[in-house]
Amino acid sequence: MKALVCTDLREDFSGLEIREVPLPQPGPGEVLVRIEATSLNYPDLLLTQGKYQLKLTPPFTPGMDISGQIAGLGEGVTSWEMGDAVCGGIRFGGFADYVCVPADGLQAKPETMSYAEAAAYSAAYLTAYVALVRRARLQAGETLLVHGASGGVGMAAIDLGKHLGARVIATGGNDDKLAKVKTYGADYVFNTREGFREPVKDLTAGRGADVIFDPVGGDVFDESVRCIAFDGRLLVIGFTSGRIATVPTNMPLIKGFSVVGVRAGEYGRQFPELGRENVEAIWRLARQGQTHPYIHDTLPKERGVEAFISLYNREVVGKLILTP
Amino acid sequence: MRLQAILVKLMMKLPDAWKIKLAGGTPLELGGRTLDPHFQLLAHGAAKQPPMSSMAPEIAQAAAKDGLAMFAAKAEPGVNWEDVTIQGQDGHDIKLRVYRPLDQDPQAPMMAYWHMGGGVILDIEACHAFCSMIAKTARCPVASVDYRLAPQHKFPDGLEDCISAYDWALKNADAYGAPAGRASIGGDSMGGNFSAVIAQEAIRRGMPGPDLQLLIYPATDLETEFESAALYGETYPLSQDTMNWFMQQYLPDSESFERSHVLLSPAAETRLENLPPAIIVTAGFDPLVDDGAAYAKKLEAAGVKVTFKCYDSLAHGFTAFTEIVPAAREACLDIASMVRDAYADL
Repeated sequence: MKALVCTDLREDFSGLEIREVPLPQPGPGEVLVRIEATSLNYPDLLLTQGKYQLKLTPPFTPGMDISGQIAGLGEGVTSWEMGDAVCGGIRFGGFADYVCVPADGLQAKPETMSYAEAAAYSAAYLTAYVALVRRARLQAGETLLVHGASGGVGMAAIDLGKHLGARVIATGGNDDKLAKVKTYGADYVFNTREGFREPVKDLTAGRGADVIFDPVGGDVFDESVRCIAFDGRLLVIGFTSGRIATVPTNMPLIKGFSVVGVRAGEYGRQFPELGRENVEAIWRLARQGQTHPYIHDTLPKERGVEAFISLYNREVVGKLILTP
Repeated sequence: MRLQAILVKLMMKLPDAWKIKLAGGTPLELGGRTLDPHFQLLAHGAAKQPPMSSMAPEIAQAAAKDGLAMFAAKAEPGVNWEDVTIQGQDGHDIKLRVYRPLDQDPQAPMMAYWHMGGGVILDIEACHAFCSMIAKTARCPVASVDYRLAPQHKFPDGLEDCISAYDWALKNADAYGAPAGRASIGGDSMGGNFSAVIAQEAIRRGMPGPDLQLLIYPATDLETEFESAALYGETYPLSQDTMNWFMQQYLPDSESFERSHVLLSPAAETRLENLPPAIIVTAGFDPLVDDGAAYAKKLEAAGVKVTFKCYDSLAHGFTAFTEIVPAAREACLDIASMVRDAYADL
């Protein structure tokens, strides 16, 4: 079978290439999935650059969000039948024709979702869910400020935040992309170049945002500290700006806010029971049609390098999908 | 005209007291409402018929069409129509019937309309007279949609056809003398469900939202058990048994979505605040009477402009009974004038 293989850890993704690799065999408790769609996530980029928490030695195949059909059953698997439409999150291996996955790590693909939508869902919505529900305990009526709003995770945070009844303010650096974010459902959008501190204060009668979802870091984090409400929760999702910000600890004390780190996958590994509940909760929302992943484009995996570069260059709104 | 149809029409001309006498002797009162004597007599006659749930779907589909054709009213004078064919999502044909009043108001948006029938029975003939009433009174073109039916085409095929038709209305309204790029939507029963769903789905898909949503005795919530489902569970022409049977046909045999899915139960959507103005009307003798009222309250609470009215003495499906139930015709003209008034406020 063919796979998009990372043969070398490189900054410019030139280590990625399509290679013929052996068809994997499902071990006990595993299933073989014939891939229909795999979405690209920021950690895929970091993984192939060697900058992610998880370090893999090349050659390996990235790709963590998959959908497809059951094409093989390992020993002892009774929960699936051949041909079942499935989807779910894995750690790597998704940009291939087939992948082996633990049988209990998959979900039935929601009837009303396409394969592309199902593949776009897991990582982004799990991150948004763990951040907003578990870590920030976002309440209906609160004001949620989402940075990096046009990214896959940002769009998921807007979608889930609106579902939870929050008023959502979104920021980004590109007006065209922000127009799409507004259409998608954000109540207000602001370009970070013009600053967001004053508009956020104006919209909250001077209080600031109750919850801030920050996958950007750097200057955006610094400015966030200046427009967060008392008892606010500043969620640290990532550092797409490339700079890890620091905050003097007198600021959280004086302003009475919390800086809260979010690791969605690790949360489930540390607390398996809650982790299962999180996964079940996001897929229940999908089966109820309450959440709507935003697809930017679908490309064949032969154009994988192009897709990685396009995500790296911030040309993507929502999620990019690769198909076999 | 068939003999049976002539008999029904003759019986409907009897004095009300005689109708009641023929239909059991006492007026039918339930939950503080009194059923219109015409409907009581129809219900009495229908009680001898086998329930729809005892029939094969194809038989029920044919029987329903025949049954309703008996009561069919003519289109209003002063309204013309033509049948056109548009392309559905995967290239299949969808038939539309487009009504145009002679006295059209160029400011009045085109309305896309979906008929009743649980997503399983009937076609555009079921709302032929009513669509012409809207066209005439609101002075707008109306595009009535012959969407695909279950069980041959289960959810969401019929709904997708209606979304295709809405998209067509947005793009073709100006060719029919209505404002370009805009449309309103309406429907009764399952069509009311489609209207509530599409008003939301248009926004979710980033399409222009409709100018107005007309929901006539709609089903908006497949999860909640309303009091009316039990209280009016045995009423004609929609019983709880028939409704359950419709859902068996309509829903795919799958556990990968829930009945609370917003494309089935629009009342489950938590984001209602940006929805277009709504006209919601219900019928008193209808398992769904509480459903429509609850959705009206929900929309109002979210700040949506809602005009609500319950026609207490009428039964579910009354838009198709205008020929033989005078109060149904009055109600339909009343609804059409609500559309006209809502258009004046746009």
